[in-house]
Amino acid sequence: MFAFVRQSLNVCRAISCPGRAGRTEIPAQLWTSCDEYGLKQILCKKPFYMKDQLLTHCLLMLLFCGLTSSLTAQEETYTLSGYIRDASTGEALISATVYVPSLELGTTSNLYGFYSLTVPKGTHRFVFAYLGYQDQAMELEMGQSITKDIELGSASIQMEEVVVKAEKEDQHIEEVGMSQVTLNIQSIKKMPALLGEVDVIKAIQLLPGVQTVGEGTSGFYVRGGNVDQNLVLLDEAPVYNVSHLLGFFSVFNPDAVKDMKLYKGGIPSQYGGRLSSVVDIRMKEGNAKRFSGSAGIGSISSRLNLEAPIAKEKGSFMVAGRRTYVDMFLKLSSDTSLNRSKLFFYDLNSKVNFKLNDKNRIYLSGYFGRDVFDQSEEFRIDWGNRTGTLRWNHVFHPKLFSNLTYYYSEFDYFLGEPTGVDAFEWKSELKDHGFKLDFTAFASPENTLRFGVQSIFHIIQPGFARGLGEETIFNELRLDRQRSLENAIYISNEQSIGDRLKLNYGLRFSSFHNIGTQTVWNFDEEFEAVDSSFHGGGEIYNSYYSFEPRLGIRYKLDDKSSVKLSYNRMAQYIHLASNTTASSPLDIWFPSGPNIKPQMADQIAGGYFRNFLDNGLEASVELYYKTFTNAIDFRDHAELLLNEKLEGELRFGEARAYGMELLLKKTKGNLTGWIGYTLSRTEKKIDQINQNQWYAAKFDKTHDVSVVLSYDWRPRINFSANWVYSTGGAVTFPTGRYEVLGTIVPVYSERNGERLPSYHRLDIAATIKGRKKWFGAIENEWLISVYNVYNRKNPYSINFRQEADNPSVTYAEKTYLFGALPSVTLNLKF
Amino acid sequence: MKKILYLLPLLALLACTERIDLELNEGDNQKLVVDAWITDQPKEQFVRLTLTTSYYYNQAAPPASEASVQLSDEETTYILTEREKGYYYLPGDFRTKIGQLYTLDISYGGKSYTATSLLRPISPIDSVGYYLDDPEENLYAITLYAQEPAGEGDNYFFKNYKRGTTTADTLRNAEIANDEVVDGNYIGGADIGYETYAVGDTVDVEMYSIQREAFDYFLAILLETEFRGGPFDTPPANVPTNISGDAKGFFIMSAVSSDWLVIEE
Repeated sequence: MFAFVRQSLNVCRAISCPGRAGRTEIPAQLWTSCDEYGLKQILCKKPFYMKDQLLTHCLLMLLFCGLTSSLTAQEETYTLSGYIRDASTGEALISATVYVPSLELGTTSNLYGFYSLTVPKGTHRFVFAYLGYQDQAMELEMGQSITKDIELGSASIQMEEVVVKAEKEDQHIEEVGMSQVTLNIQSIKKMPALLGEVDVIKAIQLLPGVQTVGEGTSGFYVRGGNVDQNLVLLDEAPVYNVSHLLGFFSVFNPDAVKDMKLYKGGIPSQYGGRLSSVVDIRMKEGNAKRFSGSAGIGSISSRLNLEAPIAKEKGSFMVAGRRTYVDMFLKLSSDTSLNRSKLFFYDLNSKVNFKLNDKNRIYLSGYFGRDVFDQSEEFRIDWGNRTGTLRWNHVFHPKLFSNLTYYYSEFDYFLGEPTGVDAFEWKSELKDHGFKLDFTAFASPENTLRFGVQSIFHIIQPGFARGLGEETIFNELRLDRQRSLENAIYISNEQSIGDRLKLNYGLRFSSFHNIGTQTVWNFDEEFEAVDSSFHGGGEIYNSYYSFEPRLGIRYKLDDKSSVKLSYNRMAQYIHLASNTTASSPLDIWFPSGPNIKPQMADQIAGGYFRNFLDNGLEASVELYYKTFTNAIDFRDHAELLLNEKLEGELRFGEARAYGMELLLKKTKGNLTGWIGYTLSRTEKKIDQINQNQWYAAKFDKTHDVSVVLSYDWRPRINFSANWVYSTGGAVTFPTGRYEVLGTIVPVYSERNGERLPSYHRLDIAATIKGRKKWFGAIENEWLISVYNVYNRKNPYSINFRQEADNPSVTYAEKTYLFGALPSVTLNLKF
Repeated sequence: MKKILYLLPLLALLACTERIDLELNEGDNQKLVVDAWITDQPKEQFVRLTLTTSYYYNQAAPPASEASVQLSDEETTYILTEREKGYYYLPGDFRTKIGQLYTLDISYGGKSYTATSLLRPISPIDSVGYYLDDPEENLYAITLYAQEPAGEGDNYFFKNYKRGTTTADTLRNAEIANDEVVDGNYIGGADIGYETYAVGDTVDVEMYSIQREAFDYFLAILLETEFRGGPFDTPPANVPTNISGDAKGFFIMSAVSSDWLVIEE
């Protein structure tokens, strides 16, 4: 940490603003405060907030520097701006590049496909490029600012005749962001998948730095962060529970997804609220050129997706649905109560976008999904997410892009037994109303500013349960509804300094407020509730504030390689109460409050990036070190459900994670894919757990390897394979036993002191496109995949049992889930 | 609540289990284990003392012999005598007193251990019933009819067993409950246990008053043994104890209400 601050301070000092005089005119005493004074303070181990202040100070200085340089730019310049879209469907292309080779100037399109590039007066050749698409180049006379929408043709449409060659494929080297990966849905769809269900979350789990626990779970752990420390966004709305069917599948229907981006570190200042990662998933906008669609029939589910232009290509809509028929498996069961059961999940996504004029575009998108398990008269449980997002893109000026978002996100579950004296219903829900206003200012070719405000109103009903019927034995139990407000303002600037150095520095200031009506329990040192305080309706009874500095530095060594450094501080105000292995639908979220401080994380990461084979092979090595404060864990045998004194079950402490990630990614040619390797360690030290000693997190995996390959053998035939290997998860085994009334009780000595056997698995798949279109219009392809080809019995868990016939004998028993599991899916496209 | 476990069959459809050989580290064993559950039932009452062993010890727990054990209520102290190795019996004149705080003192191997437990009252059982829950397994659900007394803080332990069998003294059919969500209500036929019976069996049903700490203790045992192996497992952790000094086990005082029924055609 110290070394990093020192480095960033050195950068502070080293930078000269490319302003009027060519050199910076920042008052000298500011640098002094940043430098000698600051270093002294830091090395003298002043409180942590001092370091924050200094870093914040430096970042503000940089920002000032960037602004002055852009405002004082003297040369006559003009701006080319507009949207970059897919020629065949009209979908916005995210992170497409615009480049002027003669000036060595370039930019990328934002999340809505908008780009803006300011160049000196004169005639320039602009090149527009996007991976997998054909480049477009054009000469434009820039005597004034021009708005121009660009449409790029997909390379696959042109087939082999056209050689696709983008001049600007060194994004990997060029961009200042590190620890981030973009996955395109097309490549995810070719991967082998469990029972043929293409799954974006499972694809994320194959990236270095991302760990899982247990076979087939949707939970993922990024660089030592817990599962609730991932901000999963679907069209900007957070999704609180990404699991279907106990986590074997995730809630994202591949037909509705355009692309996704994972941030593991160097998280930009527009994101916050979670400590460890951001998964930004964008839904498809729908074909703006013609009516089209796709459908799929898989081993466990069917899908249908329709898209069409509206109002003369001024907009488009997309609707996609998926439903499983797992019920069928249950019907095969001989157990009568099971084969009468209902068990299914569904997802429905829809999105409409409409262009009002060149400067205004509106997007409305929604997601509804639910899992239902209904055992006719006996028992029912269902749960699901609903999200809705309304966005308005407005171009104030060719250099100033804005986006206004309102979103709603809800997760709820229901549990009930309809008959008998113990009939009951039990509900819990979480609702978010979010509002965001984001600006991107393309201030100058060297500076791109982002700033905005965000606000989220959280309403959590942790639990409401009551008996049903006259004869009920149950009283009503209603936990207080918890209301809280989470706000943030942020600003950041991406600044190029000369050819080699590029910075992205920003600051986020967040606040969190608990709002009454609420009864807050007060606890003693033994976590026993002693009394409570009541806070009336609308009263803001507790607030937290955090400064979250963010910094990214890229230094280009040459055209093929660069080194990068990043730092981010994150604050998290709402947390998940879960201590189970798999993702449970009964998970509830709880807010920070008088008894629960916000969790904080600081991460520094550095990396070396190099491209080979004409940018066709990207290699990187990254190192990270991350510390967590106010980390939350749960007491032994914690009671997390329907507990009005939940805070008494929490234990606090610290955590640390560090590691190295290698990624070798091939992006061109018939053979594409990646090899990832992670060497890492994640440990926690929590009050009253493991005798207050450090212990390995359950998802701590020393070695983790993923090999993801896709090979286009023939134009119609693709083969793919995934192989994963990881050290077994950290588990606790008994070190002794004793007997109580005939039951043998295990004795443990150290939490997570043992390891499961290592995990490895190979999956393969083949995609075969039909030679002819069916009925002349329907493209068809078969996807055949085999999960766990060599049928390894990877342990899901190891449990300890007592023999039924000979009760003094105890033994270890391994539970494993899927053997080799083949599946076939038919995909249609029209 | 037990029904939540019905989600597990879903996993069971896909999951397989296999007995494996797995070497385990040995911890700091040979610790005293106290199994002291004294009731107001008119029978011989004893405390069992054993020692912890390695996990694969695979024999009956070794007895902790030659300890001195005494039990006191708020007025009287009773000395327990070791009749078989590790079994310490209360004298015949021992009588329980509802509402009193009991103290158990043990001295073993040069160390002393102590624990306390409040003997809470128990309400009477009006009647018990049953219904056939799963005909294929001959699994019967036992139901209870009783008034739950007003005032939160009552914790219960339920047992049901075929008269005359040895399973009476095991945790096998144990069910635990507390009055958090049923306080003061009439319990008109709630399930309190499931067991395989045959037509003609006489079933004894017992309801014990226990302390909140004892409820947590039994819950922890269930979580660490019977409930382990599903996707919703929580991190393994040691079962709590109320014995001071580095020992395992629990000291519980209980009042018991009982009833019986006959399984009919």
